[in-house]
Amino acid sequence: MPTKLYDEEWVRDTVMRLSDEILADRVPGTGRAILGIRTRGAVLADRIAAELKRRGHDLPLGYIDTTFYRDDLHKGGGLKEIRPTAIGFDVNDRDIVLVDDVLSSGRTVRAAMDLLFDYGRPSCIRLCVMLDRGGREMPIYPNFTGARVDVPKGGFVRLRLAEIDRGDAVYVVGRGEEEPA
Amino acid sequence: MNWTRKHLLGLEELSAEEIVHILDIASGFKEVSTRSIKKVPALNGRTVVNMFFENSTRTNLSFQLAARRLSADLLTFSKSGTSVSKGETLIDTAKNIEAMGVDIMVLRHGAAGAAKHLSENIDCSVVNAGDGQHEHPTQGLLDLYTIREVRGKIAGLKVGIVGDIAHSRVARSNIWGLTKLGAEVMVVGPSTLIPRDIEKMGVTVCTDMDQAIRECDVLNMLRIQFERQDGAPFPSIREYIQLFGVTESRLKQAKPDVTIMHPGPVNRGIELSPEVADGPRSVILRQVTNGLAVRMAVLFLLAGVDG
Amino acid sequence: MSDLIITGGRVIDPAQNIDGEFSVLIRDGLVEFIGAPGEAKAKASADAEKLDATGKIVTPGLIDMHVHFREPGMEAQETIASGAAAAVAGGFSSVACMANTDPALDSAADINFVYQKAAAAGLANVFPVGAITAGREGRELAEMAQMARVGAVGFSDDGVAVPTAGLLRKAMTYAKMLGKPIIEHCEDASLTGEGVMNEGYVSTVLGLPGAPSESEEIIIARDVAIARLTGAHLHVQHVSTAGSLEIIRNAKRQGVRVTCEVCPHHLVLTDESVRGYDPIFKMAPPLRAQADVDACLKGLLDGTIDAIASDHAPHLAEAKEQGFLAAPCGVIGLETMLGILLLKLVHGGKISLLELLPKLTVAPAGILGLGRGVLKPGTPGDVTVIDLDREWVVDPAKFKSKSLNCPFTGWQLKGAAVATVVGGKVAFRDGV
Repeated sequence: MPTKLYDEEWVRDTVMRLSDEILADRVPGTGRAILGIRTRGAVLADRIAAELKRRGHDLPLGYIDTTFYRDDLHKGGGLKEIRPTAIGFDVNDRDIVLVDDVLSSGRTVRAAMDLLFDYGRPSCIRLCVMLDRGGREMPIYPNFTGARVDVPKGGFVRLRLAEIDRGDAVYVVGRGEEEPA
Repeated sequence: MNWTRKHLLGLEELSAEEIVHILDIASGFKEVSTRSIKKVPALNGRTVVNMFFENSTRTNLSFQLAARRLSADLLTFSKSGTSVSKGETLIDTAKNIEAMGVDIMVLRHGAAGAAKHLSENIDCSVVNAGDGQHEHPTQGLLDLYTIREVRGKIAGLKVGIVGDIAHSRVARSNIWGLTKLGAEVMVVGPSTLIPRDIEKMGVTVCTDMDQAIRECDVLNMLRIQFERQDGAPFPSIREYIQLFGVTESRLKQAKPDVTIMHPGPVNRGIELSPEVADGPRSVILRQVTNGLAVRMAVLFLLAGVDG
Repeated sequence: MSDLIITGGRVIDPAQNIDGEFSVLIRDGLVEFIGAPGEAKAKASADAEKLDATGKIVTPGLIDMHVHFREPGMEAQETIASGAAAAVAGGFSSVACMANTDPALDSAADINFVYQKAAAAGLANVFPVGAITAGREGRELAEMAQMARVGAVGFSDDGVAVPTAGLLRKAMTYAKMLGKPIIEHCEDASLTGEGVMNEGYVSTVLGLPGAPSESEEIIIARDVAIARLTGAHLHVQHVSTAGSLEIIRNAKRQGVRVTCEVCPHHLVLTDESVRGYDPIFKMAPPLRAQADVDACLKGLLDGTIDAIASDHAPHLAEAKEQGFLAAPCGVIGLETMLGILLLKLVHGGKISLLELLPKLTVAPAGILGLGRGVLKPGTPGDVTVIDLDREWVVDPAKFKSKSLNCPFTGWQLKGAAVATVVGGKVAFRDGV
């Protein structure tokens, strides 16, 4: 059985805190936009954008799917559903906040940045992640972090969000344990 | 679903789930073509070879562009004429090319079964880009994609495939794909171009174009070839147009939202009058656009499967 | 005096209604005696060669009335010597080879050539069938009488049918005078068109041009009509459709002098085999539907089909590798025919050994007037010894034939010839 690390209250509070930090960090003179990395990064981006909007900051919101930019195609398998990248704004000279659920090796973020540069030249890119489990293989560090999580060898950390999962929670999944719903 | 096929040889062998998966992946690629930089690094470092033993500008270009937009390295090899000269068989040629380090071969060949034959004799992936009168799976897939995009569904639609059914690989791939996804398929054409026992593929046969126009939600018009080795299959073009050509006035009896498709190139004024080919019901250019996304999806999926 | 004594086996000679444990004594190439072991032993010379057939079947030497030995002209595919070696290895002491060589066997010199080559090989009896028309071109009659004089056993343009009824009438009228059969490959070229396989659901799905059954039947019907008109003996090669058998059955009932043969592949394979596009399954006539296979089996049982022949047709591997459309038609069959028939028909319970053997012995001998296929004192000493239970796996690499185009590769068969005696000489023996 996976261990429940945080509950829905923590998730709610953390979305609020991350929104605070994103607002506080605002770069003057550029338009800021939120880009969620599919699948759960996109849901998280929705929540952050909604929170910012509630506070009077209606930022452009988009979604990206990094599948075509992954560097592990040769490893085969695991090709899940691909949903189109949807960036309904010009990324040129934009201050982009990339949002993802879990940061580990950094390869997804690298792929996301590669993708972003196929759309244009943002003035800067920030990274917001709910959970940082370490194990980086790229020189990539988040600007906004929900929590750092230690995971036992061979295990995973999973963010579950009510929009697509059974409810809001963070789980640590040990080696050989079942994925939480 | 987890894609496990190394080759795409035809739609006959695919399950409905696999077909839908390709269409879903293609949706992701369609977005790529709308960007200013219409390219993704997915197949960076992979090599795709187009081997075309039959003239086909459209399919060849579509596969070339698909490979390039996936950042694959691309070789193209064209040799017209279906006869492979003695001493250099298709397999010899392919093995020589494969020895240069190739991941995917896209084969267009005049002989039915050529892609299957190739897949059994080399190690890399094979995409059938048309084998004789057998199958043209990516055309079938792009037709399915277009119908799904335009009509929002495939199941329950009545689709008429019109023209030279007997000699058409497009017809066969369409029949497999459409019937697997729950469409009702009617093949329409002069009786001399309806092959034996085609009903057993799960289709109905109709030789009355007006009936087909009245009943079908989608009309996929095949390109007619007038000259065949075994003699002309109908007495004259005039007679063909009269019986099976689609014109504006004839379309008046169609369902208001009828969709007109054609794999191209259109014999204007024969299968379709120019007004119909360029008219509001025609999705011919969308088929071409979607063909690119579908071929990117196919190359992408095959590249993700190990040896 | 040279004696061969075959002992211990169950002798089955359908022509004489012999079925029992006997010894066969062959002296100077001719059958001398069949009877009780003691009696045979007493008659045999002290230095007689011995063949112990204990537990085996001893039959008149098997006859395959339809083979292609490719010589002259296509010796890379097969020669008369390699073909004869394949024949005896498959249990056949005699074969009739077709005229579609290059050049065609259409003169007395060609017929002599075949006999000379066969004699030099010294294995099977090879009986040449001469061409009906000069060069097999379907225009003028070949010198049939000249060929008959030096031993042509029949006439055929095999590969194609005689193109017109008018020419066929002449050929049949002439052949009747010579007392030889006209052996026809029945196929209407215009109806076959570009067809490379049986026309039906499978051809439609595969996108391969099909040839309808009627392509065969229409020529059989024509040929039967001309046979009725002329009174000549028509032998129809490789029947493959239910409709063909119906026509022949009716013709026989009406007293028309018509005989026919079927090939093993048409008895055990259908057009479903073509689904993999493997040109190994390309032949003329093509593999048909299951209903046709069933009709052929029925035809064997009710006597409509007289003989079983291999249509042994060697081709180079390169030719067969050209893909289904371009590859030539034909399969080799001499070395698998007996095993396939024993496994699928006899062990498979479709037909008894006593019903099968005449189709491979006395019937083809009768059609071609060979004076063989029976173990009567004074007839040529041709004998085949069969082990009904020997299990083996088909591997063309081990065949005596020069070619590999066998559709049964990898099949596990049950039953094989273990010795073939030709004119009193043991031309092949394997473990006996």
